[in-house]
Amino acid sequence: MVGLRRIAFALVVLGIVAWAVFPFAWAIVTSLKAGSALFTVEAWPSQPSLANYAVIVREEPVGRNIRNSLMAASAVVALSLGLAVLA
Amino acid sequence: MVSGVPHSSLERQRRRAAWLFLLPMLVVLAGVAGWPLVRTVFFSFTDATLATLDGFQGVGLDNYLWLLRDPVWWRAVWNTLVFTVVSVGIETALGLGIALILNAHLPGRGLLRAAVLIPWAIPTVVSAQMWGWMFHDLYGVVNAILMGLGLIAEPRAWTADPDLALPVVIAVDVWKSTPFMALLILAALQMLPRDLYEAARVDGVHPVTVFLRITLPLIRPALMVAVLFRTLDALRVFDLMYVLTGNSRSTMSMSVYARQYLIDFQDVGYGSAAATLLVLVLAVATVLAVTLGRVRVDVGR
Repeated sequence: MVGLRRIAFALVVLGIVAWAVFPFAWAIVTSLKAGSALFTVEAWPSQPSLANYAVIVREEPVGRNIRNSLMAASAVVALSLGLAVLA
Repeated sequence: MVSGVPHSSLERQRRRAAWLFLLPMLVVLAGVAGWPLVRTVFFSFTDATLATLDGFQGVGLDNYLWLLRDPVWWRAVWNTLVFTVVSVGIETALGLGIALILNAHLPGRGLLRAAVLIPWAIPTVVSAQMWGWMFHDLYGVVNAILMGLGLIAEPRAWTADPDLALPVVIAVDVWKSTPFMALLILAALQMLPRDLYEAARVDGVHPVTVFLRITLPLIRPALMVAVLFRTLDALRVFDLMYVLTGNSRSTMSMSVYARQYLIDFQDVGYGSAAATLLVLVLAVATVLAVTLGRVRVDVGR
């Protein structure tokens, strides 16, 4: 009986993790579908390709975006922390 | 703490130092939060537009009178209230359950908590887009899975159908914010003293009674703080509705309404009136929650 409880508990935990992670995993799977494969619903693309990533790196200034995020994040944390600790 | 007139020069020095320390934060708050708020309230009494921010005239309470007579505004208020009550309710219940589960001694607990935190960590705009694609009526995975399981007969237009759109928005917010509630409650659960539970086990108390009589009252302060934060966040929700359903009347929140009039229709006076009412609603909600819920924002008893 204890074994059954353990299994049920593990299933619940797995369910929670799956629910939390699924959309993120789905986004990753979708990003590996190139061209018209995007419009088919498969769990894993039949022809996974990194073409989408290539387009992003080519078209967008990804380096600058990341640097902007880092600068904004550190500045906001430093300023808010500084002001709040003083107060 | 002695109150009233400071008696010694040392105490006066201390008070002066305290004010000096507070000054930077007060100045920044006044500039970043106070000034825009005052300006918004000011504009709500004028007929300014985005193009004529200098040449406006006072119109008294006209904007507010129009606002209170607009059924679209009341629909927005209704949407926001329904969204707040339902989503915070579900998130609290689910968060409580997940926190109790995560509190158990499991292998890989840290990894588990990190995984559960992912929905909260992804920016709302990004996750709303992800969910928007998943709820797509033709190529979305939600329709595919539901039809595959035989739960629905034909694909539904989840974000376009006025009856389904608000439940969809609520569902996405539940996915996003339950981890926040769960982790706050988990932090409170981990600070509970063990000996209470030992005594309860020795006495043979039923687990449900243990939960209701021991756990729940002890985590009540932290729970109330979490509920207050989530309620205020939910009352001013914007990005979820805007990204998933745009300006659709069946889901628009008060923030979406205010933005539509401020930016799309360029009516700064009217939009500011809507924004001011939203701030009033938030203020009332805060006061109610803090007094009725006896929320303590300060640590320690």
